[in-house]
Amino acid sequence: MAAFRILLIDDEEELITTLVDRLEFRGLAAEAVTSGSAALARLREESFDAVVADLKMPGMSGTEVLDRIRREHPDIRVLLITGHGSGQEETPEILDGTYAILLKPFSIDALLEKLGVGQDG
Amino acid sequence: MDEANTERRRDTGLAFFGAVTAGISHDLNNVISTIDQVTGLLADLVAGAEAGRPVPLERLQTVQERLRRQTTRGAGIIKRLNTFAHSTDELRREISLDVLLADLLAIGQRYVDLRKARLEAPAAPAPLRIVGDPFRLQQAIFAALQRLLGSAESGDTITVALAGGKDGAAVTLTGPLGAAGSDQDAGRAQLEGLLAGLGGRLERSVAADRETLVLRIPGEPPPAGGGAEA
Repeated sequence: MAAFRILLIDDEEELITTLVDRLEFRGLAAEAVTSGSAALARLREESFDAVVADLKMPGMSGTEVLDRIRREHPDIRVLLITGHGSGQEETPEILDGTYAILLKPFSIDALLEKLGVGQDG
Repeated sequence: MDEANTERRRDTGLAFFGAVTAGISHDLNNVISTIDQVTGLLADLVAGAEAGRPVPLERLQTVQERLRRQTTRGAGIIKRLNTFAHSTDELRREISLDVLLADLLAIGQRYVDLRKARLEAPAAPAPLRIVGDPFRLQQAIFAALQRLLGSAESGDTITVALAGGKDGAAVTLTGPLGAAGSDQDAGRAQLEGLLAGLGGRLERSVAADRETLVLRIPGEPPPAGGGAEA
């Protein structure tokens, strides 16, 4: 059975590189890109089961990426991550409750739970 | 200065303080989040080793390097936050303008990055000291930077240069010209007010869709009654 494939998007490169290491350690297939535009390009090339995107990134934001994925790849699960905890400044209309948000810092178990993935794929 | 003006300046100062500390808290949160994941990776490797999976030395070196980079980064952020917080301590003191500008631009880099713009700020040729209100000075420079960033698009460049002279100093910022409108006018009036409070003035020019803001800052104490009030 093919490994569950996750694409991570965040301009915090060392954070997502480490997350890729940890997800691979658990038998998952993970890749990291540092911009929304790079993510959309990658999604056109390969299929992924889930996307984890930072809400606030230079250029295309996490919500814009979410919007595009929703239209172009409706079957992909999307999880937004953010360092903003107030819940007031980042409540765009697109976040209608059907997509999960995880506050940084988060545990790897919380990430996997939000993605609905058991460990070891 | 009348009560309404004093209150308005206090409000913009608080808003500036809030914007800067919110941005710094976001940067610190990213550092902590990264360190959290790197220590988690270390725990994974330890657990793997206990289960009989050998840990290559290179992986441990990678973990060590990531932790070192993030702690160095975090220490730099905290040092800038501390310096910024203490800039409210005194209304007048001697300021190392080149150091203040470098720290402020490091804080502002996050906003530049979010616009996917570029910041070019050549190092000052020599240390430059003036006497003034460090908090209001930072507020004025930051307001000028934010004004130019408000019109910036991906790939745009904003340049910041510092020069000294016998009458004081000048911070020159050049960036994309914004569309004319009430917001632009209000921002310019606020900037002029901040500089007036420092005993300085704003010089503005436009050429080829780029706006240049020269913040003239006096080297001598402003006249009595013209100083900044908290």
